[in-house]
Amino acid sequence: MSLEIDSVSKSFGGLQILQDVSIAVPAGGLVGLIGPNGAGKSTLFAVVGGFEPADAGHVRFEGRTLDSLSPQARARQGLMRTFQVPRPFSHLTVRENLAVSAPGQKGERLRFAFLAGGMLKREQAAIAEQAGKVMDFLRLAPVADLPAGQLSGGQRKLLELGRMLMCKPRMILLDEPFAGVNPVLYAEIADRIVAINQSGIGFLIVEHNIPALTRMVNELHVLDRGRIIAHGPPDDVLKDARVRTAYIGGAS
Amino acid sequence: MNAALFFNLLLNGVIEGLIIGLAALALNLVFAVARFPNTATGDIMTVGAYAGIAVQGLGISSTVLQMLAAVVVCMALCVVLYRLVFRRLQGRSMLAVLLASIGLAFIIRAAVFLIAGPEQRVFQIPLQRAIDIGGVALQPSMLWLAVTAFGCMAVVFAVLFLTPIGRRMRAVADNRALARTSGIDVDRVMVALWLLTGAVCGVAGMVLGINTVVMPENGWNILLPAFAAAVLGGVGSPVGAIVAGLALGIVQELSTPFVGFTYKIALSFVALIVILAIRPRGLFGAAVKVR
Repeated sequence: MSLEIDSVSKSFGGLQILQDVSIAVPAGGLVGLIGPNGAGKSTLFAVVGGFEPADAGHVRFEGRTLDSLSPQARARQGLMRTFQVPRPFSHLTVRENLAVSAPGQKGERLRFAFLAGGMLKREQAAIAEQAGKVMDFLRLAPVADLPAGQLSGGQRKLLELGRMLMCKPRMILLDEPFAGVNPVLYAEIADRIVAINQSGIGFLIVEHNIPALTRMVNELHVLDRGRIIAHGPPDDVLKDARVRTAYIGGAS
Repeated sequence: MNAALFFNLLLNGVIEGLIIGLAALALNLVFAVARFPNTATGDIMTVGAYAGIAVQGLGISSTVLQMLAAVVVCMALCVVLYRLVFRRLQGRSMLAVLLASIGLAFIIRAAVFLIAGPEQRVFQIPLQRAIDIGGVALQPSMLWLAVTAFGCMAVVFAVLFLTPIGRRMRAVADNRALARTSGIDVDRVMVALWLLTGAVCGVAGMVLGINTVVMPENGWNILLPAFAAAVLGGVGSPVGAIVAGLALGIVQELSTPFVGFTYKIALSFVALIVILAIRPRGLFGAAVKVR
């Protein structure tokens, strides 16, 4: 297993949010996570991404225990997360947003600003080329030189995926890829996620829009009141009586 | 006012405007990226001018070398201020950092008084005959000051918009939290920002010192017009700082025949109030910001 969420529990002020949650995502897997509002999905993402410590349990990635690592350190290991509301650098262009996200640039030092040697020029040329490829792949090339603040909701989601791709992750935690997106673009975004997945990058996706999600993923987990109540192939999971009760009985 | 007087005042206004513009540029760079109004900007400029005077005192008469010393000293001073004070105050309220910068401004000025004394100093610029263009007296030194100021601005813009570190500065200005999670080393970006700001302060202090005289209050006196230009141009906008600085300098000089020397600063503030009443975000607010 590439990403192992192993018996994670978390409570806030005496309120148990996550209880003994275990999810495994294989390398290159495409796994969905659903659950009624307040089920604990966001908290689980916060724990896996390193934004909140778990009270009990472990998160492992490619065999390494991540428990004490910061979000940045996890990102460097190849595990990255997106946010429900994408936050681009809104005054920078799409191209600059991508270029600035490439990790480990030597050109980030002021003394290299003008004394750029061959190595540095090659580094920047490689980043520019990679940004170009990412924009072509995500069909963002037509808006390459627009400030990211002017993009539509769907384009922002794509740009956020692009900023991840610049860092060459191996696993992406995707938080509600369809939220705030014009439904016309659902298919486009799903198509790009599947294409990225086919290049070998694993996904754990939280999404409220169950039909849109189940068309993409090959495995589905259902979280309800902090516990995993069902998991397996999407069709089987959605027929599960407990899942139906959770959704009909739940707030949504 | 005849044409020759008009153009002479206009020329003076451009030089004065460039000095205000450079100081406002230093203010806006810091405001955009570090998010506080750095009231020590003027006194850092003063230190730069005195560094130039010190080099002159060593018998080095080259203005270029004096300028270089001013730039290096101001860059070092800015990084020291960042490391010792501003970095520790990151995440505090803007008011706290503002007050700290006011305190630093007083300390720097007092140190200059203590070390250099209160008397005026001058840069010994070799006298050159003014170029007479139909009654308009153009001092070659003025020309050089203008070229230097514009050159400094060009360098700042090249760093901001054409280099990877500039891209990162603009990213930090845009969204510091996101920059951090994107793996940008914010501390390194801040050091680069203060180095750049220091360079601008060094050039601004020298241009101010050469254009007039060098006194411990030089930088402090330019601070208010510089703030006016920063606000007028749009807080955080480097383009706005320069355009507004030029506008204020020219308005101040052109108004002297009508309101007299004493009130020319007041007039530029009248212009500020009028423009802000029409455009509350400043001339370049939101449109061409760093962030």
